[in-house]
Amino acid sequence: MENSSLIAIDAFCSFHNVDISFVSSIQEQDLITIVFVEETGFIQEEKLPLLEKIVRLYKELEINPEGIGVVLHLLDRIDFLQKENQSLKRRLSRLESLEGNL
Amino acid sequence: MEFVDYYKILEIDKGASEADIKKAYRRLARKFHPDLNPGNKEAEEKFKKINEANEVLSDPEKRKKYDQYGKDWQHAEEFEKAGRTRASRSGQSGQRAYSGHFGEEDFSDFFSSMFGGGQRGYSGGSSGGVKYKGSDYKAELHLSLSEVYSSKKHTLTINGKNIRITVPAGVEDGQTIKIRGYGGEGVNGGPKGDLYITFMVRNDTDFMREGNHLYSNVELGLYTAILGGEIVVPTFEGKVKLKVPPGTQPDTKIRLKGKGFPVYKKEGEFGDLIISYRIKIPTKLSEVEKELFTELSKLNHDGK
Repeated sequence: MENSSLIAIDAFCSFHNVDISFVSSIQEQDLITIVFVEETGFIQEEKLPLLEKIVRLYKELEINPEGIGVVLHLLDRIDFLQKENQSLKRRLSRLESLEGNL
Repeated sequence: MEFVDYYKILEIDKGASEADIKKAYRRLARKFHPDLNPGNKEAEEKFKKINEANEVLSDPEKRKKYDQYGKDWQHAEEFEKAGRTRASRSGQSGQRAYSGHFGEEDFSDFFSSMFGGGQRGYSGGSSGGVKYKGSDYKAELHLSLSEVYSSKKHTLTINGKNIRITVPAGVEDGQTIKIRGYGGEGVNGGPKGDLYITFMVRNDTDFMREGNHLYSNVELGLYTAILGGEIVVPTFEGKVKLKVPPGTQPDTKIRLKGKGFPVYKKEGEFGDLIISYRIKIPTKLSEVEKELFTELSKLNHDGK
């Protein structure tokens, strides 16, 4: 893994004005993975949008790390169900169209 | 420019306390927060309004100005000039701290007239020279099924910039692709955000598509179904001749291998075309036909 794709947690916390303990508690919830390089904690750049979303939920909605875990899980479920719903709708429309040709 | 009733937006009375405002904001933000309503533009718009209302009403100085000049906001400019010296006490940078939602362009014109450029209400956000990725953009590209049968170049206009992309053959309806670096500008020279394009594929053909397979119904004459014969059926790329065996039953399915839709990003690979035979029963019989069918039915032992 190249260092250029890592973002220092210190810098992230200072920028977003959150305590480093918050990021640790997010890691304890298994929501992100902290990578250590010579005892300095980093997150992977591609995980930045997720961590920023977590910070928004924490700061803007005052949801604690446990609650954020539940919210993210439910959002994943909604996303899965929405995709399944779309695919079923397409299937139904195909079947209706087949029926119409009878 | 329309007057914006911030109290109405937060569903509170004019006499609401700071605690009431905070409570109302939290309640509505939890309901309409874009992170909790992904892809819901209505919720996003509502959240912007709630944010703006909270920005004004949770700040005593702004609230006072709003209460005093709200309905005659045009005169607020004079008030602004008089009080300019005590402005910017809060010292908020107004800079976007993340690649998520709103910048100052998200505040209403009403807000800008009263309070100048938008400021975020967050206490954080000291930029400190740290580089951050810009916001991600989302776009939809509407194409027809015929268009996605082969790889084609398309030009998109995103935020006034023309982007030419090659859409690979076989993209699915609702499929999203990511184009790195075509999103918003980064913070402090950070990398640009990404562009996410969702393809909306409209079916302009008589074929039904499911994944890489295509489905179609083919009408078969009664005599061909009974006696067998040859028919010509359309595929996506032209017509093919098929042999119909005698005694073909209604709803018989024929699979034409490799005559379906191209497999996404697998050049030369195609799904199958599945044909269902619909047998056409004649509705108007001539006298001669009636007689012949009656003869035939008599030949049949059970008469059915």
